Amino acid sequence: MTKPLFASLSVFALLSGLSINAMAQDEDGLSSSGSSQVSGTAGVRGGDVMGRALLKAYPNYSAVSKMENRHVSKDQLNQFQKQGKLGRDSQ
Amino acid sequence: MTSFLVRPAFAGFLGLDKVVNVGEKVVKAQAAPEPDEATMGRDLAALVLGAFPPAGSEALNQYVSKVGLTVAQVSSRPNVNYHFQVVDARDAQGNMIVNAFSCPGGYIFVTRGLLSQLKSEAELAGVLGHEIAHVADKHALKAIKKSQTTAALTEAGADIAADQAGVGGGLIKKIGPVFVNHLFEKGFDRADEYKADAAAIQYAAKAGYDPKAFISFLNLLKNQEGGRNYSTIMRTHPKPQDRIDRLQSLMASKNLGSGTKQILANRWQANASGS
Repeated sequence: MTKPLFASLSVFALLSGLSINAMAQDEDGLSSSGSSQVSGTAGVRGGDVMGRALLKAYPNYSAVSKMENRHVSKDQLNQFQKQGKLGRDSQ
Repeated sequence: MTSFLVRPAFAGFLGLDKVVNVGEKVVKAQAAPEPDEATMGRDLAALVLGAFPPAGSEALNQYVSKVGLTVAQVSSRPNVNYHFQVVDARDAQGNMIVNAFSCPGGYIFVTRGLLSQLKSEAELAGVLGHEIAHVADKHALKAIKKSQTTAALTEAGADIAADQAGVGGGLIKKIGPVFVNHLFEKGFDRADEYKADAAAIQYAAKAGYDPKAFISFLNLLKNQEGGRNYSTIMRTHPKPQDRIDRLQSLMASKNLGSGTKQILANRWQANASGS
């Protein structure tokens, strides 16, 4: 009982010292120059091209299935390692 | 989950009910069971492939998979189902982005832009080894766990700020994208990045590759500092020179360069041409 209450009070203490700015929204609905900063950790900044692409993305499960179904057999891998003088037994 | 939090009767007047909600979210996040690695990884991988389409021929992807599996076999978690995929990631000007990244559960991605910069199979082995180490040591799961707590704070904090500013609540609604963005904005903890580097050269050496090749790749990064195509990888990783210095010390202390090690530049050229 004490611990959760302590947690909430700690959070209160944390939040009371924060400066949280409303974010500006660009045409994509993503944050632009504004930021929401909580003790210097993750806010949606959207400044990175890869991060922005991911924020707009729809999951592609069929591509994941294709990735998962790419099969490399034990024999193929052994042959590949043997040709390159690689693998656990290469030392 | 039953709430054990005390809600004072006057909480609503002072906005303290929201503070109590923040506490509840943080407590729930901290008490949440370890996320299912495979399921979470698959969902994140689907999002990655929704943003960055699969690329390269099947032969190239088979080749990358063989190099990756060779390294994964000697990793600290060889029994994870590792999967490898070349992806196309470009900036607004259409320039190829140089990066590699991983999701929990063994989903590992390498961009065509990064492949275009490599000169040998041993360099690829080092890059994949770095990503395999992130998976093997569950660095992403650690980051997710951390971001769950952070997201609870961020979400509730934004609600409070929005109410104060009179612009309505819900500025930050989804925890998942926050994590994804966090991954590409900030990367893993710097300590985890150094650990992944150390593991990468040890895995590479154990698999029979020349571990110095990974340092060659880091030198390439160092020389490209400031380049647009490298902005994400630079922002999400420590300075290349710091990484190089640490790896050189490690190589010397563990004598990793000894024995016959493979670079396989010709095999790389044969398989990567036309990628």
